[in-house]
Amino acid sequence: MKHRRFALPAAALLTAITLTACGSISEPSESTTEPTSASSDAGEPHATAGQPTDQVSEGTGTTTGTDTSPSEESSLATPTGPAFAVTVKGKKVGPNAQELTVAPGEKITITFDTDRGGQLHVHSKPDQYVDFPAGTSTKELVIKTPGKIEIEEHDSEAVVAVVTVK
Amino acid sequence: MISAHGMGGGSDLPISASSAVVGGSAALTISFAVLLLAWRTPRLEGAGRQVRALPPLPPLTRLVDATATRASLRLLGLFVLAFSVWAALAGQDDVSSNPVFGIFYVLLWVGLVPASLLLGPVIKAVSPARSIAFAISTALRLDPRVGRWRLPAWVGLWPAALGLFAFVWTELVSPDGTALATVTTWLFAYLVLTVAGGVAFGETWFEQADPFEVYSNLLAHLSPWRRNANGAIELVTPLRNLAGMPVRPGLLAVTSVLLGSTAFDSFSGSTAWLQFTQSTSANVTLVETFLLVGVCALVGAAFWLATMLPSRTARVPAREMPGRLAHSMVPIIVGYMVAHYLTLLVESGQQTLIQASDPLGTGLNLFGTANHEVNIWLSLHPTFLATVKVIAIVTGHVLGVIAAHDRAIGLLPSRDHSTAQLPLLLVMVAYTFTGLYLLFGL
Repeated sequence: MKHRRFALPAAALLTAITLTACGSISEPSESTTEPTSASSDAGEPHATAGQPTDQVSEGTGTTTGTDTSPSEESSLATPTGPAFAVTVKGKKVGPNAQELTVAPGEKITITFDTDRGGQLHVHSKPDQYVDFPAGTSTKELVIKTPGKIEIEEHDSEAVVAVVTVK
Repeated sequence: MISAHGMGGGSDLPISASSAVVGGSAALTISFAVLLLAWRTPRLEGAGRQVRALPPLPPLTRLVDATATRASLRLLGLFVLAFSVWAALAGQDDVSSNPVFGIFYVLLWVGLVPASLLLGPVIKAVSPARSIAFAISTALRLDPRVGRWRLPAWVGLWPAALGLFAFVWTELVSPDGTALATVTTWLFAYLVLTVAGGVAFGETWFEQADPFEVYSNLLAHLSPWRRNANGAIELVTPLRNLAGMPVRPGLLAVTSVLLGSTAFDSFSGSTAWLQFTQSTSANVTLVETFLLVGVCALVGAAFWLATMLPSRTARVPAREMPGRLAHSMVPIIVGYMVAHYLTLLVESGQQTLIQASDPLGTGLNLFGTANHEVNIWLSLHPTFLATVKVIAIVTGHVLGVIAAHDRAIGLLPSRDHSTAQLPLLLVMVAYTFTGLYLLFGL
């Protein structure tokens, strides 16, 4: 009887540990579902990336790529829609796996502020590639197949965005 | 590890909250129904109880055991090996063109699951390691069945558990998992160890040390085929077949590695984990190695405790209980594998067959598949896919609970039937809820 009494709480405890251990790490961050200005104010995933925040906000929401300090004003320049900004400064590549949610076929705007040219590898079905030149530029991307798609900067093998297409 | 997921493009959408809740509730309800309402004497095993056993199938046995059949299957295995070696040595170091990655990670590793479930022990029939060892043994005038030495009984399935861990580590943790050198080295080491052991210890070595054969044989015990005492093939219900699985040392280690690594794969594919690995200065390979070991150990330890502790009154020593119940994890593993790798098998599997026609990237079209395109019907129907996954997880869970219940009531005195099974039931519910949660939340 004794060991049985002990076994029940032990099993329950293990269950609880297993579930909570996964839960605490895997909380998805809600802030990223609002992609247009998320990268400038959400901050918490990028701060850990060692990416200076001003570099990220600089590229956001502008087609010209020049400084637009009040980010609210930029809605004139960019149609409101899913977007993210890729920065490459030396070995630092950002953002750190920014999350976006889009509908299949919806247009995603990618702005670049990079000190070298390169290529994004979009792990969609089928694969897609987005070339970017050194400097600032803007590209558009459309993913048609549903799924959770990683976008990887080719040379650094860093995942800059994870797009949920549904 | 990032490019390992790039085998075939993006991963599946998470399942919806409602399907996770429905699946979880179903699993929980059926579990307790089985525990409280199901049969009180073992039905799936036991001598003299096979009243309704189906007659053996002599024509099928003759066909399967015919020299021509066996030789053809051996040649098929050797052909695939030779093809892979050729592609590995002469092809490009590029996942998107060289079929060797898909042959290794998709067709072999994932493909053996449905093949063994439908046809039985397929790896045993095609294993090129067996064929090579057979040739060497014959040349050395050794009996290929018994080899030179006897393997001690305590070795059991431990070598296979280590081999399986080495595989999942290479696939899921190694930073160079999709480098050609890694796959080539792994295959070479696998062949050398398996063949040398096979020559030394005979057939036992393949049955206990070849990770692919052990995995395939495990799943073959859920197939509708088995051989009776006279060696004739007979049809059998999968659960009865499962109950006949031999208990060997290390069985729980094998099932724990298989289940734990799949859970680890779900977890390490999450965006939160990706963000952590891309921002930390810690050694990610080391952290993930510890984590993979930890998850496998946690899966095994939970099972071990839940089967060992309440078993003082059992008819066998308590330390034997985990091994005697470990077969009940196999259906749960299958549920996890279906949920996790279905899209990979169907879509990357097609990609591999397309690449196989042009293994060197030189414009060849060996099998006429080079110009095909991957059919992504599954990815285009995410609701269907999510439903299949939840059904697979819940079905695996229910079959596991039934298999465990049937074995437990044979080993425990009747007054302890329900209470002593409760810890194991809770562990299985934990496996299943974790599986659903990983599909839902990540």
